[in-house]
This record gives sequence, C-alpha cells and structure tokens, in this order.
Amino acid sequence: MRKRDIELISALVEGRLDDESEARALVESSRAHREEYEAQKLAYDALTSIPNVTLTESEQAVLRRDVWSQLQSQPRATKTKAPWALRWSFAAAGLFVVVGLLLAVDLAGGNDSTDFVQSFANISSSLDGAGAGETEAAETTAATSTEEDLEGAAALDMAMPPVEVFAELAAQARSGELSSEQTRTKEQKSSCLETAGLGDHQVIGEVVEDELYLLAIPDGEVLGPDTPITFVQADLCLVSYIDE
Amino acid sequence: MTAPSHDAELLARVAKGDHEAFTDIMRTHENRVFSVSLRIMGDREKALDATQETFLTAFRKAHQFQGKAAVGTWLYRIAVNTCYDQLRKQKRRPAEPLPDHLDPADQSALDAVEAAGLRPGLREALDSLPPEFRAAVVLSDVEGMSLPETAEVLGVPVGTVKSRVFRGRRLLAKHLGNQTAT
Repeated sequence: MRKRDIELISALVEGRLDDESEARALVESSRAHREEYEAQKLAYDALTSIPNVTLTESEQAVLRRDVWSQLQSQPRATKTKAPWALRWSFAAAGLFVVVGLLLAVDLAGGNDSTDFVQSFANISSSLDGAGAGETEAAETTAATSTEEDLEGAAALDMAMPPVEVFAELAAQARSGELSSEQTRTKEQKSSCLETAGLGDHQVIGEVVEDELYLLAIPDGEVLGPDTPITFVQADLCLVSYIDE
Repeated sequence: MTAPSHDAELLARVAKGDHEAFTDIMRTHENRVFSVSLRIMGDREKALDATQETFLTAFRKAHQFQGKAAVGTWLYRIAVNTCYDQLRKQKRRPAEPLPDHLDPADQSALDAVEAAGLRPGLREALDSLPPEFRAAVVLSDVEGMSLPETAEVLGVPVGTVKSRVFRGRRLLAKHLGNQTAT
C-alpha cells in the first residue's frame, strides 16, 4: 500500500476530509485497503473513546506536597557549609589555643593540677557538645540540613570561609585543569550522590583538599561556564559547596 | 488553560526561583501531564510518580527553556521522556509491591473507576504497544494533539509520528481483534 493511500485512509478515519468520495473509493478498491481502514477505524474509535482522566483531590494534594518537599530539600547555593574536616580542624585549633592559655595561666598562677583538669574537662565537654552537633549534621544529608546546624557551623565558617578554595577548584574544573584520576568506583559515586540527595546528578571528577570531594553536575548536562558544580565530601556524602 | 505567553512568563519567573509562579504552572498542567503519563504508564501510582518527576525536572530546567515551543509542549516532552525512563527501569527490575502509603483498596477502587471508562481490553491492548508507538497514539488520538505538536513533544519528525500512529493503531486493532475473537 502506498504512503499516500495510508494517509488518505487515516484522514478519512479521523474525519478530516471535506470530500470523502476519493477516500471511500480507495477503501472499496481492494481487500487490503478495506482491512487497513477497518483496523485504523477500530483503533481510532477505541482511543478517542478514552475519557479524560484527572487527579483526585488526594492525589493532587500528595503530588503538590511531594514536589514541594523535594524542592525544599534541594541543596541551595546560598546555604554553603564549610567542609566537615575544615570545621573540625578549627575546633581542634581552638582547643589547642584554650588548653595552651590555661596551661600558661596554671604555670604562672600556681593553681593546683585538679583545677586545671577540671577546667580542661569543662572545655572538652563543651567542645564535645559541638562535635556531637557536627556528627549529627554529618549524618543528615544536605537535603535535611536545618537552620540550627547551619547556625552552629556559622561561627566556624566565619573564621575562614572555605568558599574561595572551592570556587578556585570549580574554576580549575571548568578550565579542565583538574586531574582526571578516579579513586572511587561508579557504584560508590552513584551511591554517595544518592545519599547526598543528588540522585539526579553525575560525577565529573574528584579532588583532594584535605578530604576527597566528588564534583557533580546535573544529569544530562555538559560542564560549561553556567553549569552548577556541587562538591560532595566523599566519605560522608555531604554537600559541602555549590559553585554557580 | 492559560495563554502560552503567560505560561512562558511564569516559567521565566520560575527560573529566577519564584515558587508562586511554579505553583501556577503546576495547577495549569498537572492534570494533562498526569493523563499523558497514565496512558503511557498504564498505572495510576506510576503515573503519579512520573508526574512528580516531570515537575521536579521542569523546575530544575526552567532556566533552559528557550521559548521555542509552548510551555505545555515542553512539559509533555519531559513527561514522555520521564515515562520512557521509568518503563526502562521497570523492565530491568522485577515488579515492586505497592508502596506502604497506598491503601490497596483505594488503588483497586481507582483502577475500577478508570477501567469503567475504557472499552474491554483497551488498557491491555495499549499496554501491549511498544512505548514509542503508545506515546504517539496517546498524544495524537487520546489527547487530541496535532501531528506537528505530537512531533514536537516526541522530538521526532512529523513523518515519523505519522508512521508510529499508523503502526500503533494497526497493532492496537490486531490486539483488540484477537481479544474479540477469543
């Protein structure tokens, strides 16, 4: 059967012809044409009889709720967090300074050693509290970051914002200067991105900056000047920085 | 249905992070996106997942919309591709049990309501079509889109759409004919 015959039969089936005589004559011209018409008509009538479907009220509510909760959990560029290791290194540095000062005061003032031990215990416990907060933050994904843990990290972030470091690394990635060495398997990387709430992203590289970070961009995109690059701390699978 | 230019305006606002504009886009298109997804996926729960994924993708990619097509066409294209992806994943893994939050009684009630609107065996016949043919007949014959619009949604030439629609209908008729015969 010729292509034109099929198109004419289709137009007849769909009722698009002003003058149907030519098409009807064609249908009657052979058994093959008649069968083609009957098949197209049977399917077309069945398909056009399908009623419109709409979401029920509860489906609509679930859809909107789920879409919004997913959107809220997307990591945002404005909520950058210092890398876990950097924050811990600040905490450790702070601890050394305080202990050093206490030791100096202790030596100069001649306090007995139990006071010093008590003071040290107090400081340790307060830092442990901060550490616990960090651990808790580390266990949550970027998707569930709370304002509280961001505030908790803020004091440390202010000491030396790591933004420049990541921005520089992102710039290097964009200009193809980063090493293409890969230490993690494809499965490990995918699993880490899932944990970080970036299931729709792909890893484009790795970089070591105290810790290993995965560089991720949205699926299906090619790295360009406007492509956001997300840095994911590879051991904890936490979003550390987004360069946009 | 909103005017295409209004939709494009809303989407430009979405690209700048305007959540209210995104809500408007969702309200306007959610039923049709769901309808297309349902006819391709053949299952309400999976269609709901595809609809959700479609809007999430749309939000993330709003800045990439260039205004060459209507926002609706762009959304249906995302929906069809999302359905293809999910069908491919579905093929690779065994059937999953119903999720916990879905009451099986509700699901069967919804399926019964939907099936009541379809002629006997039509749902099975549609499900039997290869996804590319199914999408073409759904968009063209069920949703009533023109051939150029269907071509735009599917990202293929009009001639390819015509061929998929003819062949899809032929396969569907064969399936329906066999059902009648048995």
